[in-house]
Amino acid sequence: MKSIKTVALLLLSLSLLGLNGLTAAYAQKEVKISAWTADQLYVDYFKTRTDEFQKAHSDVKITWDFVVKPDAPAAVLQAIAAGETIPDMVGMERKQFSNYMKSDILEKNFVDLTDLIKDPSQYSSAKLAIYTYKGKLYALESQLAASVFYYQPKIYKDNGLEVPKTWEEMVADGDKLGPKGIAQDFVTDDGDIFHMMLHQRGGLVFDKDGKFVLGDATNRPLAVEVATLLQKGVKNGTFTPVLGGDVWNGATIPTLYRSGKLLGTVMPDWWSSCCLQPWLKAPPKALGTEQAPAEGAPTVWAVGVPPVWKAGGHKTLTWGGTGWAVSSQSPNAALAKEFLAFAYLGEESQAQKYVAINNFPWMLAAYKDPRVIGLADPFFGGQKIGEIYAQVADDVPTWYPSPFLAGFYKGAGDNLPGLFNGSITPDQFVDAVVKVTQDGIDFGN
Amino acid sequence: MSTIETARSTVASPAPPKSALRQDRYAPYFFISPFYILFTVFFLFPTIFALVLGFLKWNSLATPEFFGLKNYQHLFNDPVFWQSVSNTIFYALASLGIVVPLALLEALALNSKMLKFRTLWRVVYFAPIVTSTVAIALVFRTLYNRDFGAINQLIQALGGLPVDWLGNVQTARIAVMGVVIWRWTGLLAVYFLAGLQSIPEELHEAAAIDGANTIQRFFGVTLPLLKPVILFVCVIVLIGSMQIFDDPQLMTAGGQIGGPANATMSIVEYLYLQGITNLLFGFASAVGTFLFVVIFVLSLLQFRVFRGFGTD
Repeated sequence: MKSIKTVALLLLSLSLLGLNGLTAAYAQKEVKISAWTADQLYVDYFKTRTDEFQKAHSDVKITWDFVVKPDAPAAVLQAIAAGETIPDMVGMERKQFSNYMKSDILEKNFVDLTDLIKDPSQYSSAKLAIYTYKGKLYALESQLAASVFYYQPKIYKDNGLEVPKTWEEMVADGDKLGPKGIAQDFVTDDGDIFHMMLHQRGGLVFDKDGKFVLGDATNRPLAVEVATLLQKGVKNGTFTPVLGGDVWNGATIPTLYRSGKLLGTVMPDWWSSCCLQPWLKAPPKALGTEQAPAEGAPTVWAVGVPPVWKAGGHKTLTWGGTGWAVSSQSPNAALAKEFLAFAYLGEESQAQKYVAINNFPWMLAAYKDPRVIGLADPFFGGQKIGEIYAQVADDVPTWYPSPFLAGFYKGAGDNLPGLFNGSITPDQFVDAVVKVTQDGIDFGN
Repeated sequence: MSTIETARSTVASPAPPKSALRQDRYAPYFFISPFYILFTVFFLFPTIFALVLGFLKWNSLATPEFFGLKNYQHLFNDPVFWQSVSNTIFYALASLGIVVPLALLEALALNSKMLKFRTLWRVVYFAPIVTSTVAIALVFRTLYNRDFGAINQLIQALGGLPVDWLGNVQTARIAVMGVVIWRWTGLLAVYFLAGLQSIPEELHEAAAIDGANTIQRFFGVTLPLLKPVILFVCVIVLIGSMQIFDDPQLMTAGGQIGGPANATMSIVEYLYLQGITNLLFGFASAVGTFLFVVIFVLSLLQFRVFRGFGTD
């Protein structure tokens, strides 16, 4: 009888425990975080970190509502303008960030993330400056976006040339390679190309206070120097112009790579994961182009430090980047902010992000993490490309955002075709860019 | 007699109640009201709002400020705007000079009795209209590609040098025009075809009996009777060209809005750049007002031409 009582008590206890568990499960609140981005890679990375984050938040059940579309940052801006609800998290392509600086959009719609960076000296100051406005940090950068030189070493070797260490050497090599129809890099009519080279040379478009300084006595000569090299490089075939949007769409660049007409590209970390590897690993068969090397076969690609300027400047140049911001309208703002800090900050997360989606860390300590410098990439013949990024990571040029940056890009972009085809001189190019940007600032609508 | 009695009894019948009279009076307004409500909400109000916005400094986020004529001053001093005007005029003239005659020729061919599989040809020519613009842009961008596009392969096979169709300032808008021609000729041909089929066959037969050959019959019978259709087509082509947006936009998507050095920028693309990309709603409204005035004036001119041809 006693044993029956014991069994009954045990069963009762177990039932109560089960009921308790069930109640706890019902008490777990479901939280759906919406996030808009232009790049699927961020979605992939967020998903890899969700389970771990979830473990520390047993009171909520986190689900995602991702929207991936090329114009996501612009769409969010339009939603704000239309007075509509915006997503909880927004991946702002850093060029779009300057548009968010207008009319107090940042202050009114996004969470101040400054307090997440306890010790700014641990992070690349350049990456903090890009998303800082009126002393507040509004987005966390995804990658260092430091450029390296992705190239096909065999082409240099076959032509008896060393990999160029400076831009001037690269253009000098163009005298030999250009007539053979081999370009060493491509240029576009995107103002970014001029912007990043100018900053590597040590110039600025806007200063720390947001003042337009491109035309001043310090920056104008540097701008002319950069424009001169670009014009000379296009003329002798060092740079092949790819205009009209074909950089991002279509098969132009992959076809040029495979045909050997374009031996390489100076581009940031994201170029490898967004473009170079996907394009060459999955060639457009329909076009009849040759297949990429099979896995395990000797690679034809390598990574090196980018060319520098003979007369001085920085070790690398920077293009692109996506900063994640959190909507202050969101009821999930605190949780989204916490997730962002969890997934983006600290050595562990920065290293994991690099392993997952090749976004090189912008936290200084993570540059030496074995997962970062020790990761061998089979696409580059097992080369540890993290070591190459790490060599330049401590000298990423800082450039400052401005609400009028879009005007600069438009002015530069509109005049680059003229610079490339020689219809305007480098001096005229710089004057035109300065005029267009200044007109936009003066109009100030 | 019985008819008269009936009529009398009708006259003598009691007057309808007041509410019925009121219903009769207001019913027509009720029935036509949906159009006017929609017209006011979606046309009249936005038009007046845009006209007012043209004098304001506003980006939809900050408080609007009166800006006087500054938006218009900036507009007329902006070389990019004049480039967009020049490009739009190019699209309009090229459409009138190439697309309209081509569509007429196409319609004549499709109307020919000698043509076999006539329905099939009509479907084929109409296909571009029902094809997605994005798909069209993708195909044409591939065809135009500098390095491996079919057009350049052909040029090179014939001994020529490859052309950077969409990347070259001189050729970019010609390339866009190529798409416009391919896309719109079929639709216009359908209008012409309808016009051709409405011309009585007896007139052609009479002209033939009088000894007129095919060309004489075309200029003496077909063309004069097609004038109303030709004028209608010219009006819609001209207005459509002034509002061209998706063809140049998609052909240069991913690069600079307006193509290399704004070589393909149309007025509506310029408006889109200022309004949607740069959030300069006041300035973009000034552009819209300019476009409205231009189209309004052109439409008035077209109506005068209509009257000149004796067609209302």
